[in-house]
Amino acid sequence: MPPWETTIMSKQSERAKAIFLEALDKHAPDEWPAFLEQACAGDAALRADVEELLRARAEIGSFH
Amino acid sequence: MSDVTQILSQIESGDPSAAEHLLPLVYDELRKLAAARLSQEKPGQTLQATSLVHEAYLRLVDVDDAQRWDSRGHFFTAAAEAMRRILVDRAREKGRAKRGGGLKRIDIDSIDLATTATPDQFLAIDDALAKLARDDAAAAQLVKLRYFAGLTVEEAAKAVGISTATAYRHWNYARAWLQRELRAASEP
Repeated sequence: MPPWETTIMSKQSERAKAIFLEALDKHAPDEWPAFLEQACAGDAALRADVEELLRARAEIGSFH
Repeated sequence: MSDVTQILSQIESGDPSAAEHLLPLVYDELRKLAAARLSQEKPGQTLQATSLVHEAYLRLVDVDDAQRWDSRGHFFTAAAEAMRRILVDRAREKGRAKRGGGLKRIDIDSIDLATTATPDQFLAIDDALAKLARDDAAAAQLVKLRYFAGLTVEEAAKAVGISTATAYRHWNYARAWLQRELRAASEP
């Protein structure tokens, strides 16, 4: 993988992390679709990334 | 003053070469403790990473000289890495003896995840963690301190010098990330 691709991927995962944590901290699950719509601003790959994290988090169960 | 205590105080006084001497000492002690533990107890005995690391700490560090958390942090960082290596070796050995590991569900929240997972699961967790470390070193470090040194999120936060709130953010992200990664790895 060329180094610039790694950089792009890292940036996406950083953004996904920030959006994922904000969704959990500040929004109820029923607000997530609207929040993701706005936060991911049409970036479908980013949105899919965050949605997978939220699904994985739901599988784990209770927070903390 | 014990060797380890001396190294910890050198690290604290800013000697960067001291840290690399810490890992081998901690690794040797943990390996000895692990071997002793396994020879005494029933077959199939799992290693309790948490209690081994704390035992090693009491044996290697002069507790009165190392009261400060930043030196404990260096110790636990080395211990987590040492314990990870010991468990990887053990999982590889066991994995060779008996492939597969059934369908036991992994409890990603368990503080003893590192020792309760089957060998294959453990190696999958270790691979996933290495991948996370390339992407988000701070989150991966927190997971290592929890899984392999048995620290709580609060203790791990102190060990690496971040706030508890930041540590919880890393931890919450890391476990969702690992859950996703392990699920993807187990699907055909």
